[in-house]
Amino acid sequence: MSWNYNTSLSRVQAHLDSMGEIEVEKLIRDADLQSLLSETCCREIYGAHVYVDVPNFPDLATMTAEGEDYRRVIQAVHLYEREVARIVEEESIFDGVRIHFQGAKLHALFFRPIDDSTAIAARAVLLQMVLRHFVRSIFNAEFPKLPNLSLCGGADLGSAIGTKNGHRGDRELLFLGAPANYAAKILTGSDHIRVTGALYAALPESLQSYFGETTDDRYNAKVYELGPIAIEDLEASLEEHGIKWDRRASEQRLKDDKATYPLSQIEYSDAEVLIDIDALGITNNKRVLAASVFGDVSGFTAYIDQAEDQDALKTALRVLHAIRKEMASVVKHDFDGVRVQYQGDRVQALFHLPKRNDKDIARRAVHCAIGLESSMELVIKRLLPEAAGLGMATGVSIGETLVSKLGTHGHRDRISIGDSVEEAARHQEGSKCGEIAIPADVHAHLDEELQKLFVWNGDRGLYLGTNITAEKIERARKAELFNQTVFVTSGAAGVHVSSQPTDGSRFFVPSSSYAG
Amino acid sequence: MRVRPKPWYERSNGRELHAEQARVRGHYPDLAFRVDPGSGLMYLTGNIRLRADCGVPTEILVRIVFPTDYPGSEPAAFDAAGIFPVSDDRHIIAGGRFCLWLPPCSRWDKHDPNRLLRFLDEVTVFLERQLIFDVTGVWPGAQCKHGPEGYEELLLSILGGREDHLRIFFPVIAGQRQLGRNSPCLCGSGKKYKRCHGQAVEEITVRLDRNLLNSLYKRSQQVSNAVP
Repeated sequence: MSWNYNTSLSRVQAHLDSMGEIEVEKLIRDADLQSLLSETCCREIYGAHVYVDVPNFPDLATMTAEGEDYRRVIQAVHLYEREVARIVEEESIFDGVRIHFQGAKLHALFFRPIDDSTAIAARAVLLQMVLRHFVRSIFNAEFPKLPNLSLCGGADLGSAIGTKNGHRGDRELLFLGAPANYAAKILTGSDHIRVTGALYAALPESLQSYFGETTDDRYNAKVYELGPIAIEDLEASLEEHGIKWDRRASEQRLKDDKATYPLSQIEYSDAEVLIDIDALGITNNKRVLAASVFGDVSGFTAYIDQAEDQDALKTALRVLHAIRKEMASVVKHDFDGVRVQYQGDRVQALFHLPKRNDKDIARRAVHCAIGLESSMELVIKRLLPEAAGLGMATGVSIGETLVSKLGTHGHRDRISIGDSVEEAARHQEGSKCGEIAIPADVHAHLDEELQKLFVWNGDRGLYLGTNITAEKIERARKAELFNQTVFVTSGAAGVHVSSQPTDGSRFFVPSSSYAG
Repeated sequence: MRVRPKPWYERSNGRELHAEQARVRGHYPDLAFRVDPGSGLMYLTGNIRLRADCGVPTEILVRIVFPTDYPGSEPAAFDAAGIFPVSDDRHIIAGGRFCLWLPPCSRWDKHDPNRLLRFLDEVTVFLERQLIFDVTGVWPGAQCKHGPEGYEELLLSILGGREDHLRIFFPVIAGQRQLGRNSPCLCGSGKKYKRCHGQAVEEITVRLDRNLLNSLYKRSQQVSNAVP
């Protein structure tokens, strides 16, 4: 189980050879994005990207004791997702696009009516208002044995490129560009709903009045935060914008779902063999000790936002698809991990084998992170010189994780939920191009030679490895080789220096080097 | 008018050169022999392609310059593309020259038909060590001290590591003092010099150039005079 240059090279070349001609046009009429978009059929879509998260779920998935309490958490996650998905997608309600759930975090898009920024922005904000009310007043009441859940949200307005990954069984919508990123970036992780200046500016005055201006200290950016709104005012606003959300109907659907999937039907287990997430669902879940890895293509949002014409956009998308497929191959084939999902230009992976063996799990995750870096730096950039300005930023963390698949037939999301999942994502988000960020407990499990390649960063409380590739680890391990006999094999394939003899190798003890 | 002797690679209708080419070609196919038009010196240049276990190739452009008295003296190896910084810690000196070993410790054997292949193998291992230094910041494997101290270290090791013996025998080594073979050894062992340190001193005078030994002796005198 390791990364290999030649394997990676032939994989990426095969991906590029099999990739069709990419087409990127502006979306000018309504369409079903799930059917329209594909790896090669991409659209520039003007819309509002909305992220809504329930930050309590990762804590609950990590901390809740085994048994009925844990089954209740699983039930809550699934039923929350089901009702939220209905609210977002049903034509009679918000008629939006549920891009996917990233754990408990929803990513949705509003693009209808086409190019009508006011109506689109209003829908984005009203969805956040509705979901806040749903969680606080309906969902929490239905789950009194859980702590009260809170909800945070973020939304931005603008153009992003919509595409899709190409695997038959698990196709996912992918959105690339600033609004898809900023909407997630301004999430606070606590009970706040915020929108960017662009989205706020597009809102009708009636909705603007519910927001107050504030500064997001993390990015020193001006954002607008949603204040309280009475349910009567919310219902009036929904009616004004033609959105037919009935809170009593929502409440009833939640009760019906609860009756359909009682706690007695919710099951979970540990995993002895590699999890097949596609076989999971509301009644069949996994709770594992797992390392989460988030690998992000650093610089890609700027790269695609700066594409000046259609050809530049096509090139950027070709680069993305090549990187994306290779990232998945590194996870699945090189390190026997689970690709949970793509999230725009990043991949989320999970390593849970050998079962409950935190040392081997941590090592495998870090080696995968190094494999991602190796593919990017040594292979992708060689085959695609236009990717020269890009790099990988990767975060790793380990802990108790709930793994499942949310949703019903047709559109289902692979998810993993736990504090360590959120931590790995944060570690990645705080990392620069070429960095791998790992916490101390993961670092402690690594070989000494590899540990030395990571440097403690006191400000972040993490170990950071910069530009670590598979060949560098190999060389770090070879450092002791030169005090003894070395074997040199040379020929058309190059020269190989080893501590072990091979056919035709020549050997000697290396000379003491000098300078003078 | 004095006739300039033929360079080594033209002697015997270039037979020596062809033989070297044949020995190297199969093992280092990317290296090619060239003649520098300015100096008339033959050199070998091209990429040495180091292959890691994980398959990653690293190509390093080298230049191996042959001396006029080749194969009497060994060639010199250079970092032709300047990819490694000049640094004592990585044993690369001005002009990108590789300090593969302390010159008296060279294994160059002009009678060995595979001398050039062995030299290239040492260069290859030296490059591999450079790449490791890039990763760890520590020179892998054995190394001598830099400059004159490297030679003093060698003298010391031949004399069994005794600094007092180096101090006592340095005038003899440098030819500043004559010592009869049957004289009592200066180390005070009571043995004859030829049966005690005579062989070590002889080894030193064979391996190291007389002028170099003189300059090392003067340096040692200056250092000992400078000590209060």
